[in-house]
Amino acid sequence: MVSALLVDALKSPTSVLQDFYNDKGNITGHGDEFPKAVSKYFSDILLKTRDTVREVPYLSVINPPESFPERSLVRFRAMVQDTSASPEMYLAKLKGNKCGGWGNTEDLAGNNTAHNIDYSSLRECTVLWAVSIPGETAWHARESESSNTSQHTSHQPSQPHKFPIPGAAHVGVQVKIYDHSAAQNIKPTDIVNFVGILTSEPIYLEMDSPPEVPTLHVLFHEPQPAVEKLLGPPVPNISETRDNLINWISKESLGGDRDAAEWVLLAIIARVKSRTPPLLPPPLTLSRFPQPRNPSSIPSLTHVLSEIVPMFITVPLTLDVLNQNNFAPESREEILHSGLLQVPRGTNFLFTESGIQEGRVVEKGVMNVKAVQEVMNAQSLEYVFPYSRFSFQTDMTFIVLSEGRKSAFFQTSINIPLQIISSENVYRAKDQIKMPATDELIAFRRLVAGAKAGNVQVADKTSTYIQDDFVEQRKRDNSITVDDLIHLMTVARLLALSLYESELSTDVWKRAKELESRRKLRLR
Amino acid sequence: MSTPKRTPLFAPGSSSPLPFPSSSPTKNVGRRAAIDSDAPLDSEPLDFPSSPTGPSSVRNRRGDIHSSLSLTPSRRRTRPVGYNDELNDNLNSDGTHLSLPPSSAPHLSAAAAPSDEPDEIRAIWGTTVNLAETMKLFRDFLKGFKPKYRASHDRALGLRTRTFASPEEAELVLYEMYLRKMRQTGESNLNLDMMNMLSYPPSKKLYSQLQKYPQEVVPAMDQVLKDLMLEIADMDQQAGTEDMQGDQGDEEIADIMGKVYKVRPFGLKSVNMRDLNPADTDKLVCIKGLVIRATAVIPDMKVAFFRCLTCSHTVQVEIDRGKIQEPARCPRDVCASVGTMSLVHNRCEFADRQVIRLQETPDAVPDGQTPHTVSLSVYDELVDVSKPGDRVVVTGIFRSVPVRVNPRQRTIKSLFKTFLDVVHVRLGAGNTLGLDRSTRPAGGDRIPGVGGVGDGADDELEDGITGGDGRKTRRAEMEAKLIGLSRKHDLYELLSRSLAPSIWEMDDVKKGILLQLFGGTNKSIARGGGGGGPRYRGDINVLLVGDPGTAKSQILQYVHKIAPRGVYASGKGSSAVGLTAYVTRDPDSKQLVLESGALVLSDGGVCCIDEFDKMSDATRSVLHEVMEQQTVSIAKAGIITTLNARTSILAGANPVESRYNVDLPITRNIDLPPTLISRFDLLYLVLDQVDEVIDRRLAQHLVGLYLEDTPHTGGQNILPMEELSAYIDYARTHIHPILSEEAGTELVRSYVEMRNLGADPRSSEKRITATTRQLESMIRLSEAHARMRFAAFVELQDVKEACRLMREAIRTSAMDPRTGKIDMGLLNTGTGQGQRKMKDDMRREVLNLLNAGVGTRGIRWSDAVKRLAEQSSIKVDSAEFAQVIKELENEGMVNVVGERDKRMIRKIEN
Repeated sequence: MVSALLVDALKSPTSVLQDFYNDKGNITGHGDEFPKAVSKYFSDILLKTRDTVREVPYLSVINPPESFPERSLVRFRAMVQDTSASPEMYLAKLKGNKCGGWGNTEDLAGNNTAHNIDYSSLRECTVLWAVSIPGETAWHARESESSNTSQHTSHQPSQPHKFPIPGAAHVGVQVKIYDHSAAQNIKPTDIVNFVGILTSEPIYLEMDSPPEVPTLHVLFHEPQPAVEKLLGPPVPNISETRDNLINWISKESLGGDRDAAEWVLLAIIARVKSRTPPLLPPPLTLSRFPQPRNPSSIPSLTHVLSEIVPMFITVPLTLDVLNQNNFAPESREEILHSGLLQVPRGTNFLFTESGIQEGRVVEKGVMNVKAVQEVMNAQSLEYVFPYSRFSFQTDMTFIVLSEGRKSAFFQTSINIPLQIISSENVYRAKDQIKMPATDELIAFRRLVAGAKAGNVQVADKTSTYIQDDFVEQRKRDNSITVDDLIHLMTVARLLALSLYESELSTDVWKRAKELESRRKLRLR
Repeated sequence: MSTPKRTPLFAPGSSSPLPFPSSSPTKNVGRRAAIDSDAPLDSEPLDFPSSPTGPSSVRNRRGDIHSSLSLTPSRRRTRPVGYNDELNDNLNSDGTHLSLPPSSAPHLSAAAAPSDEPDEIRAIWGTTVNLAETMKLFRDFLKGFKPKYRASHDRALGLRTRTFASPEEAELVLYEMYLRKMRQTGESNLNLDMMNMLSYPPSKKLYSQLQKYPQEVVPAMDQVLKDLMLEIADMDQQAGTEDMQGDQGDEEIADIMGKVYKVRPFGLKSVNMRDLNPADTDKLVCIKGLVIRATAVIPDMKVAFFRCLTCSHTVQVEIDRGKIQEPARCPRDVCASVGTMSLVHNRCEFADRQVIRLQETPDAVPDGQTPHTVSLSVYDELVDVSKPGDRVVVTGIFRSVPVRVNPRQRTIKSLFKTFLDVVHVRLGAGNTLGLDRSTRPAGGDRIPGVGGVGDGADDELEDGITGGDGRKTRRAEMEAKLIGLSRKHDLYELLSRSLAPSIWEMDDVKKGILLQLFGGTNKSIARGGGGGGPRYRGDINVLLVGDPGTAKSQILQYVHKIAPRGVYASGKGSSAVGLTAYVTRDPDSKQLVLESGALVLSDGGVCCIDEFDKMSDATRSVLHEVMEQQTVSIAKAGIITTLNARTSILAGANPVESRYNVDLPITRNIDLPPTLISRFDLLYLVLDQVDEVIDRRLAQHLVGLYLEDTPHTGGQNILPMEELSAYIDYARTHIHPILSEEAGTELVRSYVEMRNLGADPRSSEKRITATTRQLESMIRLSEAHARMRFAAFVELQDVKEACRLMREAIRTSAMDPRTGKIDMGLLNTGTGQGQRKMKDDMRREVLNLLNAGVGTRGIRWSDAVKRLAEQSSIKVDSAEFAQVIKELENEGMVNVVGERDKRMIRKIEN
């Protein structure tokens, strides 16, 4: 019986909704009771098993909105880009006891305007803008998509300025959530799974001639948890897998520099642990990184890391990129334009400086550099609104590739000059990279995801050890400061995480110190 | 729009008034100015027979209210013969709308006995609200409300109340006074604090009626207001009050007759924009926000005028919920032609309208959310009151109207957009903008046109309460909390502890910075040429000099976060005003570097500059100007302009040799010109000393902070950052302490004492210890300390603490390391007394050397240095030596020939 409902829901969600309204429409009080019931009803049908939800067609660049007939049931795993649209009012009850909302409207012109409107059946719904997840890596996208993908002609997004990565293919959709109170805690850059009815409706009602955009009328939605769990078997042998991973990264993308590869691993597993005191991901500069022969080459590191993290964005910095793009979101003419840094929590960034030439950085470029530095230092990003700025918390990691001794633009707490051992090119194309066996690759991904999600405690013994160590060091060398101690503690925490150790041991502390002193040696 | 005070008896183009019957003594002058220009058209008013379906009376038409009610006046008034200037109202010259009193009315010197019952009794449809009763209640309120009611109401709620200057003040019939003031000033708007309505027991009911049915209740109130205006004017005329005698009184009364009076209610508890919901539709609501856009003035049709093309019959149709219903056929039965009604534009009535977009302010938006925006429609006098960038509190009626999806189509879908029809605007909600009010011109934020009558005395009351249902607002709660906080005995310690809690110790530094955040008061001497005399800055500048890794940057970062308008910049490669930068190849390392960042100085805030010593000379010279004159001059595109930069500066600098050399005076340790250093009120040396006990405690603190699960912040209670920030904000905006006499005396005493420190009885040398700059600093610091205590006067304890801080700061910074004595000369000229003495000695020795004569060829530079070093117990500083030679050269005593190592010093023979 349920399966029959599922088939109906897939075929004609509108009539299933109307049937439900006929049945339960009378529970509609003044609040959200009916939308809440709708949300429960449909999620019961569609989330029965993991497979049932896969039956629902998936909205993506491959299956863009225009490839679906009007009022199709679709699902969309998306990043919320803009929540600043005012809630919209709609008539919850239409003539002939028809269900209002979810894109069902009626023409009011025939019956002489305002007087005939039953203002008491006005309800409000949340309106927001959602886009494909920026920087989602191919392997990760495959995990959530269903297999039946039809190749469609290239999709032209209707509001390209509302996607963080300029010029990138994506789907952008206006989302209307009728369960108004449940939608209150959806915030920009959240990743949410939406299931709803796809139509086309105007956006920006305040405008004189509002453009029509793809609109998803949400039947139910599910926010994605902050720390994502990957499905699959546990990582077999942590220490061995970790070694193999570091080997692979160093061999395929860093010319065999294992220390640099270890620092890269520590950098990508970091996340915001606490804000007071600030335990933030340390940004990493790989300095002395060779210049490519062809300026537009992408470093192999991009291809390698894209295979193991879920969200990865490479930014080849040039003066034009700096001077012309928005890094921070900005509201212009009341439309919130996206910026490169408006990405979900957990995104990994790679900035390359090989394309930088001498020249002028205009005000916008300076602001962009400042914005990146602010995210690196404080993990907060200011969105620019007229006469005010709003600070948003972020959680992303940064790796900067620089040809010089340090980055030309950014101050990073970790800087390691690359030491290439093998003659292998660090700018190899993707197909020239030797991929590990599938099982091993999955283990790599799980190792990274697990390390990111982990927690580290510190035993009293270690704590005392660290204190003694600091006092001793200060005696020997008074140039060692508090900042060095804080930095070392951050590194030690990350190292413990990468080893899946839930407690910081003196062993790990020593290892961290060795790693750090080898790095300092290279800086001399 | 202001109504002309007095208009000629007969406007050009209007025919004799007498043939037109009057239907009502009230009339509408909604848009007289525009209509005057249309006058010639109205020369044949009789061509348009009045329509029987037209409204039977003229109302006070206001843009913000679309009432479906037709109110007749509550009583008829007769006026003196000869009062005819109603006729100017050409708009109504076609009869139906004429509001002329019967010409036969006798001259009455006494007003007709007031009748409380209106001609008509109406109830608001679908409710039990009786409008007549509402009008009576409002009338009673206006005639009966006294400030004492409000005071007792506030007291009952535990709010701060105003103290009355005299018992009479509490007993004043407030609104009668306001009404008289309105008559005298020609003002036609009455700002009505709804809290007053709630505190006057008989009118409590009105409060909720007004909130629920503003559309009906507001016009009723307007009517009552006008009636009372006339009544009071009559009363005054009879009583022979000044300005109201004889003809002058008649004139005034005539004027009142011709005016549209508007009640502008305010004082509802403001709700969050995102909490407005469909249930609020057509109710009176109050929201706060930031104006981000405002359109130009739009003429908004209020009444459409249609004429039948066949029979010339005319119809007027009023706007209803933003729509004009076009008549499909001629309403005259004999004609009844279909589709012949055509709009006559220049006979329509218009009102000024402006659409404003109001955005939520950062403090109202839930964490991590983007702000919402609503549309406001403002009308008539409220047009152009607020400008983009203003923070406002608006009271208005919440509307939902269906959206026409495609403007080319006539279809309207059941989608709705919402907006507010604004009845009251209040500028500058709170002072959360965080700028120093004293840097803004006094009285700059006046609401033109509306503020005049109505608030005045309420302003102060309103500051503390905007609560509607007797609930304290968040702000009032916060205020109470802050005041409670200010009474704590360990306030000073608590606040300084709360400042950058993750930074270990450095108590005096934190205290100094804390006082910097509060700031002294800006003073200006009003007299003097050139638009105001000199301004004395109240901003306190602090410089931290110290070893790397002593958390200077962290302190700066922290202050940047909590300070109002904080700006953080690194001195390295910053330019003071420029906003562009260059990527260049560093000549030494051949690597790409970004030169110059943005250092936009923050007017009325705190500017934190790290790596102050690395700043370019050009930028530094700008800072000289900023720190003393508090302006920035910019030359761009051939224009030189001076901008205000009333900012206090918190700077951090590293010593010259990266670590502080305790053997050298501070001026030699910091690579900054002494003239700039002396502009800092407080200069702290933050030295990193290796000390096992301190190191261990520090490490323990940090390990606990960064590695353990529950980070503790020193275990003591501290204020959260937001609260500290709010406290500082509140003090900066509300507290302006003045020096008490006692404090003045103490300041003088301390200053003299500080100067005397320099007088050492054992030696004849005089060292300068304190200068007037230090006295000014002491005043600022004392004021800041008083401000921190929320005190109105600077008292003894404030001065004492200020002096203590100064002494502490001087002790570390102005101590001559060679003599161990405090010497402000070190900071002011760069050379201490001891040093100066030594230079004299060196000069003498150099001359001796030269005189000792190694022949006429003079003496080699390096030899001279070597030989001096042999004589002296102290190492000869080569820079000092060069300076001495330079001086001698300038005096014409010696000359130097040759380059670098081969330099020879020769004595010039006279």
